[in-house]
Amino acid sequence: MTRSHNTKSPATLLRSLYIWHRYIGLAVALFVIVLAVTGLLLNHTDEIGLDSIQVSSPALLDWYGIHAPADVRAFNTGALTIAELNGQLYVNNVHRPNIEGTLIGAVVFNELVIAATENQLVLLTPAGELVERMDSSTGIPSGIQAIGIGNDGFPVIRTRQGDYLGDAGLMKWTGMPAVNARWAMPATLDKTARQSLDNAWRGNGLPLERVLDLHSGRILGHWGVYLMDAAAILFLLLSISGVWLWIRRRTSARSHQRKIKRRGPHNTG
Amino acid sequence: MIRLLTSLILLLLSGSLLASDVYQSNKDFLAEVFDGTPPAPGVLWLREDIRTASTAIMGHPYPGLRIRYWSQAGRSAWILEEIGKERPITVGLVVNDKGIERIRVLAFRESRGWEVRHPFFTDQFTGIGLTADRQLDHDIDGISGATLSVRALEKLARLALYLHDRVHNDNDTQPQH
Repeated sequence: MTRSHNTKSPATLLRSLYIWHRYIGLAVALFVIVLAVTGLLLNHTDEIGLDSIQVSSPALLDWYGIHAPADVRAFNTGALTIAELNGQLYVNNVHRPNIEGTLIGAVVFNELVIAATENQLVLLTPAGELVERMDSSTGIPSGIQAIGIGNDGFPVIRTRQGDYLGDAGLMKWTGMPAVNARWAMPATLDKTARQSLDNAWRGNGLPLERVLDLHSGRILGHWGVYLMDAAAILFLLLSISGVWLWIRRRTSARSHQRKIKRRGPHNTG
Repeated sequence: MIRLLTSLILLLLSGSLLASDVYQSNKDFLAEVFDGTPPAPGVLWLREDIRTASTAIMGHPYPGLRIRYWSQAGRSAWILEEIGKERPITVGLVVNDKGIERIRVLAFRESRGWEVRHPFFTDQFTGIGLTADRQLDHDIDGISGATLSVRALEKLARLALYLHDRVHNDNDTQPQH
Protein backbone atom coordinates (compact mmCIF):
# COMPACT_ATOMS: atom_id res chain seq x y z
CA MET A 1 0.00 0.00 0.00
CA THR A 2 1.39 3.39 -1.01
CA ARG A 3 1.40 6.29 1.42
CA SER A 4 -0.75 9.33 0.64
CA HIS A 5 1.08 12.58 -0.34
CA ASN A 6 -0.55 14.35 2.63
CA THR A 7 0.59 11.92 5.31
CA LYS A 8 4.29 12.46 5.69
CA SER A 9 6.28 10.73 8.39
CA PRO A 10 7.69 12.88 11.22
CA ALA A 11 11.20 12.33 9.81
CA THR A 12 10.15 13.67 6.38
CA LEU A 13 8.40 16.62 7.99
CA LEU A 14 11.49 17.39 10.01
CA ARG A 15 13.64 17.18 6.90
CA SER A 16 11.27 19.50 5.01
CA LEU A 17 11.39 21.94 7.87
CA TYR A 18 15.19 21.83 7.85
CA ILE A 19 15.20 22.62 4.15
CA TRP A 20 12.68 25.45 4.56
CA HIS A 21 14.60 26.80 7.55
CA ARG A 22 17.77 26.84 5.47
CA TYR A 23 16.11 28.59 2.50
CA ILE A 24 14.42 31.19 4.70
CA GLY A 25 17.76 31.78 6.39
CA LEU A 26 19.42 32.35 3.05
CA ALA A 27 16.59 34.59 1.86
CA VAL A 28 16.72 36.91 4.87
CA ALA A 29 20.51 37.00 5.27
CA LEU A 30 20.77 40.21 3.22
CA PHE A 31 17.97 41.84 5.23
CA VAL A 32 19.69 40.91 8.49
CA ILE A 33 22.91 42.53 7.30
CA VAL A 34 21.08 45.68 6.13
CA LEU A 35 19.07 45.94 9.35
CA ALA A 36 22.08 45.30 11.58
CA VAL A 37 24.31 47.85 9.83
CA THR A 38 21.63 50.56 9.53
CA GLY A 39 20.46 49.86 13.09
CA LEU A 40 23.96 50.38 14.43
CA LEU A 41 24.29 53.62 12.45
CA LEU A 42 20.88 54.87 13.57
CA ASN A 43 21.83 54.30 17.20
CA HIS A 44 24.86 56.54 16.80
CA THR A 45 23.80 59.19 14.26
CA ASP A 46 24.75 62.07 16.56
CA GLU A 47 28.18 60.71 17.43
CA ILE A 48 29.02 59.92 13.82
CA GLY A 49 27.45 63.17 12.63
CA LEU A 50 25.26 61.52 10.02
CA ASP A 51 22.71 64.32 10.35
CA SER A 52 25.27 66.85 9.16
CA ILE A 53 26.70 64.85 6.25
CA GLN A 54 24.82 65.71 3.10
CA VAL A 55 24.25 63.22 0.31
CA SER A 56 25.58 64.45 -3.02
CA SER A 57 24.69 61.51 -5.23
CA PRO A 58 22.41 62.87 -8.00
CA ALA A 59 20.72 59.48 -8.30
CA LEU A 60 19.77 59.43 -4.60
CA LEU A 61 18.69 63.08 -4.65
CA ASP A 62 16.50 62.34 -7.68
CA TRP A 63 15.15 59.26 -5.92
CA TYR A 64 14.06 61.42 -2.98
CA GLY A 65 12.57 63.98 -5.36
CA ILE A 66 14.87 66.78 -4.23
CA HIS A 67 14.96 69.36 -7.01
CA ALA A 68 16.09 72.96 -6.93
CA PRO A 69 13.33 75.60 -7.19
CA ALA A 70 12.79 76.97 -10.67
CA ASP A 71 12.95 80.60 -9.57
CA VAL A 72 16.35 81.99 -8.75
CA ARG A 73 17.38 85.56 -8.09
CA ALA A 74 21.06 86.31 -8.54
CA PHE A 75 23.35 89.33 -8.53
CA ASN A 76 26.89 89.43 -9.83
CA THR A 77 29.37 91.80 -8.20
CA GLY A 78 32.42 90.66 -10.11
CA ALA A 79 34.15 88.61 -7.44
CA LEU A 80 30.96 87.22 -5.98
CA THR A 81 27.77 85.79 -7.36
CA ILE A 82 25.08 86.02 -4.73
CA ALA A 83 21.95 84.02 -5.36
CA GLU A 84 18.75 83.25 -3.52
CA LEU A 85 16.69 80.11 -3.79
CA ASN A 86 13.55 79.94 -1.65
CA GLY A 87 14.89 82.45 0.86
CA GLN A 88 18.23 80.68 1.24
CA LEU A 89 21.32 82.63 0.21
CA TYR A 90 24.29 81.25 -1.68
CA VAL A 91 27.55 83.12 -2.12
CA ASN A 92 29.51 81.68 -5.01
CA ASN A 93 27.35 78.56 -4.70
CA VAL A 94 28.16 78.14 -1.01
CA HIS A 95 25.10 78.01 1.20
CA ARG A 96 25.04 80.57 4.03
CA PRO A 97 22.68 79.15 6.63
CA ASN A 98 22.88 82.26 8.79
CA ILE A 99 21.65 84.56 6.02
CA GLU A 100 18.02 84.24 5.01
CA GLY A 101 15.50 86.39 3.21
CA THR A 102 14.47 87.63 -0.19
CA LEU A 103 17.52 88.89 -2.04
CA ILE A 104 17.02 92.45 -3.29
CA GLY A 105 20.43 93.28 -4.74
CA ALA A 106 24.17 93.47 -4.23
CA VAL A 107 26.71 96.23 -4.83
CA VAL A 108 30.41 96.79 -4.27
CA PHE A 109 31.39 99.60 -1.91
CA ASN A 110 34.85 100.30 -0.47
CA GLU A 111 36.07 96.92 -1.72
CA LEU A 112 33.32 95.21 0.25
CA VAL A 113 30.18 93.62 -1.12
CA ILE A 114 26.86 94.74 0.34
CA ALA A 115 24.02 92.34 -0.30
CA ALA A 116 20.53 93.50 0.60
CA THR A 117 17.61 91.35 1.62
CA GLU A 118 14.23 92.85 2.47
CA ASN A 119 15.20 93.60 6.05
CA GLN A 120 18.94 93.43 6.33
CA LEU A 121 22.22 94.32 4.72
CA VAL A 122 24.91 91.68 4.57
CA LEU A 123 28.48 92.88 4.37
CA LEU A 124 30.94 90.49 2.73
CA THR A 125 34.61 90.62 1.88
CA PRO A 126 35.56 90.08 -1.80
CA ALA A 127 36.45 86.52 -0.77
CA GLY A 128 32.89 86.00 0.42
CA GLU A 129 33.64 86.08 4.14
CA LEU A 130 30.87 87.56 6.23
CA VAL A 131 31.81 90.83 7.90
CA GLU A 132 28.49 91.68 9.47
CA ARG A 133 24.75 91.57 9.09
CA MET A 134 22.88 94.77 9.80
CA ASP A 135 19.17 95.22 10.37
CA SER A 136 16.73 97.61 11.96
CA SER A 137 18.49 97.26 15.31
CA THR A 138 21.54 98.89 13.75
CA GLY A 139 19.56 101.59 11.99
CA ILE A 140 18.89 99.87 8.67
CA PRO A 141 15.38 100.74 7.49
CA SER A 142 13.26 97.66 6.85
CA GLY A 143 11.29 96.97 3.69
CA ILE A 144 14.28 97.38 1.37
CA GLN A 145 13.22 97.43 -2.28
CA ALA A 146 16.48 98.24 -4.05
CA ILE A 147 20.14 98.89 -3.37
CA GLY A 148 22.55 100.89 -5.48
CA ILE A 149 25.47 103.26 -5.50
CA GLY A 150 24.60 106.93 -5.57
CA ASN A 151 26.23 109.48 -7.82
CA ASP A 152 28.50 110.53 -4.96
CA GLY A 153 29.78 106.96 -4.63
CA PHE A 154 27.97 106.07 -1.40
CA PRO A 155 25.49 103.19 -1.04
CA VAL A 156 21.80 103.94 -1.26
CA ILE A 157 18.85 101.81 -0.29
CA ARG A 158 15.32 102.38 -1.46
CA THR A 159 12.60 101.40 0.99
CA ARG A 160 8.84 101.85 1.26
CA GLN A 161 9.53 104.92 3.41
CA GLY A 162 11.95 106.48 0.92
CA ASP A 163 15.64 106.47 0.02
CA TYR A 164 18.47 106.28 2.55
CA LEU A 165 22.08 107.20 1.96
CA GLY A 166 24.77 105.32 3.88
CA ASP A 167 27.96 106.85 5.24
CA ALA A 168 31.49 105.59 4.59
CA GLY A 169 31.43 103.19 7.57
CA LEU A 170 27.87 102.05 6.84
CA MET A 171 27.10 103.04 10.41
CA LYS A 172 24.57 105.74 9.66
CA TRP A 173 21.77 105.84 7.08
CA THR A 174 20.20 109.19 6.34
CA GLY A 175 16.76 109.58 4.78
CA MET A 176 16.89 111.50 1.50
CA PRO A 177 14.52 112.53 -1.24
CA ALA A 178 14.66 110.28 -4.31
CA VAL A 179 18.34 109.64 -4.99
CA ASN A 180 19.84 109.07 -8.41
CA ALA A 181 21.76 105.84 -8.22
CA ARG A 182 23.01 102.91 -10.21
CA TRP A 183 20.63 100.32 -8.82
CA ALA A 184 21.75 96.70 -8.66
CA MET A 185 20.23 94.67 -11.46
CA PRO A 186 19.60 90.91 -11.34
CA ALA A 187 21.96 88.74 -13.35
CA THR A 188 20.97 85.84 -15.56
CA LEU A 189 22.90 82.74 -14.69
CA ASP A 190 24.24 80.71 -17.57
CA LYS A 191 23.49 77.01 -17.76
CA THR A 192 26.70 75.94 -16.01
CA ALA A 193 26.29 78.45 -13.20
CA ARG A 194 22.65 77.47 -12.75
CA GLN A 195 23.60 73.81 -12.67
CA SER A 196 26.24 74.49 -9.99
CA LEU A 197 23.71 76.42 -7.92
CA ASP A 198 21.12 73.65 -8.29
CA ASN A 199 23.72 71.13 -7.15
CA ALA A 200 24.52 73.29 -4.13
CA TRP A 201 20.82 73.51 -3.28
CA ARG A 202 20.26 69.80 -3.70
CA GLY A 203 23.41 69.06 -1.74
CA ASN A 204 21.80 70.66 1.31
CA GLY A 205 18.58 68.76 1.06
CA LEU A 206 19.37 65.23 2.09
CA PRO A 207 21.34 64.40 5.23
CA LEU A 208 22.84 60.92 5.26
CA GLU A 209 20.70 60.17 8.30
CA ARG A 210 17.63 60.09 6.06
CA VAL A 211 19.11 57.45 3.80
CA LEU A 212 18.84 55.20 6.83
CA ASP A 213 15.24 54.90 5.64
CA LEU A 214 16.81 51.69 4.40
CA HIS A 215 16.16 50.38 7.90
CA SER A 216 12.41 50.76 7.62
CA GLY A 217 12.32 50.14 3.87
CA ARG A 218 10.81 53.61 3.29
CA ILE A 219 13.58 54.37 0.83
CA LEU A 220 11.56 52.20 -1.59
CA GLY A 221 8.25 53.84 -0.70
CA HIS A 222 5.23 51.83 0.46
CA TRP A 223 6.47 48.69 -1.23
CA GLY A 224 9.73 48.95 0.68
CA VAL A 225 7.81 48.99 3.95
CA TYR A 226 5.86 45.89 2.87
CA LEU A 227 9.14 44.25 1.88
CA MET A 228 10.58 44.87 5.33
CA ASP A 229 7.30 43.61 6.85
CA ALA A 230 7.73 40.41 4.84
CA ALA A 231 11.34 40.17 6.04
CA ALA A 232 10.18 40.63 9.64
CA ILE A 233 7.63 37.80 9.21
CA LEU A 234 10.39 35.60 7.79
CA PHE A 235 12.56 36.47 10.83
CA LEU A 236 9.71 35.27 13.06
CA LEU A 237 9.32 32.06 11.07
CA LEU A 238 13.06 31.52 11.18
CA SER A 239 13.19 31.99 14.94
CA ILE A 240 10.21 29.69 15.54
CA SER A 241 11.45 26.98 13.17
CA GLY A 242 14.98 27.27 14.60
CA VAL A 243 13.81 26.82 18.18
CA TRP A 244 11.44 24.02 17.18
CA LEU A 245 14.16 22.18 15.24
CA TRP A 246 16.56 22.56 18.13
CA ILE A 247 14.02 21.13 20.58
CA ARG A 248 13.19 18.22 18.25
CA ARG A 249 16.82 17.43 17.70
CA ARG A 250 17.57 17.59 21.43
CA THR A 251 14.60 15.36 22.26
CA SER A 252 15.60 12.93 19.55
CA ALA A 253 19.22 12.84 20.74
CA ARG A 254 18.13 12.22 24.35
CA SER A 255 15.75 9.47 23.30
CA HIS A 256 18.56 7.88 21.27
CA GLN A 257 20.86 8.06 24.31
CA ARG A 258 18.22 6.43 26.48
CA LYS A 259 17.80 3.60 23.94
CA ILE A 260 21.54 2.98 23.93
CA LYS A 261 21.61 2.96 27.73
CA ARG A 262 18.68 0.50 27.87
CA ARG A 263 20.41 -1.87 25.44
CA GLY A 264 23.44 -1.91 27.71
CA PRO A 265 27.15 -1.95 26.91
CA HIS A 266 27.08 -5.55 25.45
CA ASN A 267 24.59 -4.66 22.78
CA THR A 268 26.45 -1.72 21.44
CA GLY A 269 28.24 -2.07 18.14
CA MET B 1 -16.15 66.82 21.32
CA ILE B 2 -16.00 69.32 18.43
CA ARG B 3 -14.61 71.90 20.82
CA LEU B 4 -11.96 69.46 21.97
CA LEU B 5 -10.99 68.63 18.38
CA THR B 6 -10.87 72.32 17.45
CA SER B 7 -8.64 73.04 20.45
CA LEU B 8 -6.38 70.15 19.51
CA ILE B 9 -6.06 71.35 15.90
CA LEU B 10 -5.36 74.92 17.07
CA LEU B 11 -2.75 73.61 19.50
CA LEU B 12 -1.03 71.62 16.75
CA LEU B 13 -1.17 74.59 14.38
CA SER B 14 0.26 76.91 17.01
CA GLY B 15 3.08 74.41 17.61
CA SER B 16 3.97 74.32 13.93
CA LEU B 17 3.79 78.10 13.69
CA LEU B 18 5.96 78.48 16.74
CA ALA B 19 8.53 76.28 15.08
CA SER B 20 9.71 79.14 12.87
CA ASP B 21 8.66 82.33 14.54
CA VAL B 22 9.96 85.75 15.43
CA TYR B 23 8.95 86.40 19.02
CA GLN B 24 10.40 89.87 19.30
CA SER B 25 12.21 92.08 16.80
CA ASN B 26 15.81 93.05 17.55
CA LYS B 27 14.75 96.67 17.66
CA ASP B 28 11.96 96.04 20.18
CA PHE B 29 14.30 93.99 22.35
CA LEU B 30 16.81 96.83 22.51
CA ALA B 31 14.09 99.38 23.17
CA GLU B 32 12.85 97.25 26.07
CA VAL B 33 16.33 96.79 27.50
CA PHE B 34 17.22 100.48 27.36
CA ASP B 35 13.82 101.91 28.30
CA GLY B 36 12.93 102.99 24.81
CA THR B 37 16.15 104.76 23.89
CA PRO B 38 18.97 102.36 23.05
CA PRO B 39 22.43 103.90 22.78
CA ALA B 40 24.27 104.02 19.48
CA PRO B 41 25.75 100.61 18.70
CA GLY B 42 29.41 99.88 19.24
CA VAL B 43 31.44 97.63 17.00
CA LEU B 44 33.67 94.89 18.29
CA TRP B 45 36.11 93.60 15.69
CA LEU B 46 36.82 89.92 16.12
CA ARG B 47 40.57 90.21 16.03
CA GLU B 48 42.75 87.15 16.35
CA ASP B 49 42.67 86.67 20.14
CA ILE B 50 38.93 87.30 20.37
CA ARG B 51 38.29 85.03 17.42
CA THR B 52 40.34 82.25 19.01
CA ALA B 53 38.45 82.54 22.30
CA SER B 54 35.03 82.80 20.63
CA THR B 55 35.82 79.78 18.46
CA ALA B 56 36.72 77.80 21.57
CA ILE B 57 33.42 78.82 23.18
CA MET B 58 31.21 78.17 20.16
CA GLY B 59 33.03 75.16 18.80
CA HIS B 60 33.33 76.94 15.45
CA PRO B 61 34.26 80.44 14.30
CA TYR B 62 31.49 82.93 15.01
CA PRO B 63 30.21 84.15 11.62
CA GLY B 64 31.37 87.65 10.79
CA LEU B 65 34.42 89.77 11.31
CA ARG B 66 32.72 92.17 13.68
CA ILE B 67 29.82 92.20 16.10
CA ARG B 68 27.60 95.11 17.10
CA TYR B 69 26.66 95.69 20.69
CA TRP B 70 24.86 98.30 22.73
CA SER B 71 26.43 99.47 25.95
CA GLN B 72 25.29 101.90 28.61
CA ALA B 73 26.06 102.31 32.32
CA GLY B 74 28.04 99.10 32.63
CA ARG B 75 25.41 97.00 30.86
CA SER B 76 25.81 95.64 27.39
CA ALA B 77 23.24 94.11 25.05
CA TRP B 78 24.11 91.59 22.37
CA ILE B 79 22.09 90.04 19.60
CA LEU B 80 23.79 86.80 18.70
CA GLU B 81 22.94 83.79 16.61
CA GLU B 82 23.76 80.14 16.72
CA ILE B 83 22.52 77.23 14.66
CA GLY B 84 20.85 74.65 16.89
CA LYS B 85 20.57 71.85 14.38
CA GLU B 86 20.00 73.37 10.95
CA ARG B 87 18.82 76.95 11.23
CA PRO B 88 19.92 79.93 13.30
CA ILE B 89 18.38 80.85 16.63
CA THR B 90 18.51 84.60 17.29
CA VAL B 91 19.03 85.44 20.94
CA GLY B 92 19.14 88.76 22.73
CA LEU B 93 21.37 88.90 25.81
CA VAL B 94 22.03 91.59 28.37
CA VAL B 95 25.11 91.38 30.56
CA ASN B 96 26.02 93.50 33.56
CA ASP B 97 28.82 93.37 36.11
CA LYS B 98 27.07 90.53 38.00
CA GLY B 99 26.64 88.31 34.96
CA ILE B 100 23.71 87.59 32.65
CA GLU B 101 20.89 90.01 33.33
CA ARG B 102 18.49 88.81 30.67
CA ILE B 103 18.41 86.28 27.86
CA ARG B 104 15.60 86.07 25.37
CA VAL B 105 15.03 84.00 22.24
CA LEU B 106 14.07 86.58 19.62
CA ALA B 107 13.64 84.26 16.65
CA PHE B 108 13.52 80.50 16.45
CA ARG B 109 13.64 78.81 13.06
CA GLU B 110 14.34 75.19 13.95
CA SER B 111 11.59 72.60 13.77
CA ARG B 112 12.28 71.29 17.28
CA GLY B 113 13.48 72.67 20.59
CA TRP B 114 11.51 75.93 20.68
CA GLU B 115 10.74 75.32 24.36
CA VAL B 116 14.01 77.13 25.14
CA ARG B 117 12.20 80.41 24.58
CA HIS B 118 10.09 79.98 27.72
CA PRO B 119 11.02 81.89 30.90
CA PHE B 120 11.14 78.62 32.91
CA PHE B 121 14.28 77.88 30.91
CA THR B 122 15.78 81.32 30.22
CA ASP B 123 15.34 82.48 33.85
CA GLN B 124 17.99 79.94 34.86
CA PHE B 125 20.63 82.15 33.21
CA THR B 126 19.94 85.20 35.35
CA GLY B 127 22.99 86.14 37.42
CA ILE B 128 25.18 83.48 35.88
CA GLY B 129 28.80 84.40 35.21
CA LEU B 130 31.83 82.88 33.59
CA THR B 131 34.50 80.75 35.24
CA ALA B 132 38.20 81.20 34.49
CA ASP B 133 38.01 78.58 31.76
CA ARG B 134 35.02 80.37 30.19
CA GLN B 135 32.35 77.95 31.33
CA LEU B 136 29.07 79.02 32.95
CA ASP B 137 29.54 79.13 36.71
CA HIS B 138 26.18 77.40 37.35
CA ASP B 139 24.57 74.38 35.77
CA ILE B 140 21.64 74.84 33.43
CA ASP B 141 18.89 72.21 33.52
CA GLY B 142 18.26 70.91 30.01
CA ILE B 143 15.00 70.18 28.25
CA SER B 144 14.30 66.73 26.82
CA GLY B 145 14.12 66.88 23.04
CA ALA B 146 15.72 70.32 22.91
CA THR B 147 19.32 69.38 23.61
CA LEU B 148 20.80 71.24 20.64
CA SER B 149 18.82 74.40 21.32
CA VAL B 150 19.79 74.30 25.00
CA ARG B 151 23.43 73.86 24.00
CA ALA B 152 23.13 76.78 21.55
CA LEU B 153 21.80 79.11 24.26
CA GLU B 154 24.47 78.04 26.72
CA LYS B 155 27.18 78.79 24.16
CA LEU B 156 25.68 82.18 23.34
CA ALA B 157 25.48 83.04 27.04
CA ARG B 158 29.17 82.17 27.45
CA LEU B 159 30.03 84.20 24.34
CA ALA B 160 28.08 87.26 25.51
CA LEU B 161 29.75 87.12 28.94
CA TYR B 162 33.16 86.85 27.32
CA LEU B 163 32.50 89.69 24.85
CA HIS B 164 31.10 91.91 27.62
CA ASP B 165 34.27 91.33 29.58
CA ARG B 166 36.39 92.21 26.55
CA VAL B 167 34.46 95.40 25.91
CA HIS B 168 34.39 96.58 29.51
CA ASN B 169 37.65 95.33 30.94
CA ASP B 170 40.00 95.37 27.98
CA ASN B 171 41.71 98.65 27.26
CA ASP B 172 42.68 97.45 23.78
CA THR B 173 39.06 96.99 22.80
CA GLN B 174 37.61 100.44 22.54
CA PRO B 175 34.02 100.81 21.44
CA GLN B 176 33.59 102.41 18.03
CA HIS B 177 30.42 104.34 17.63
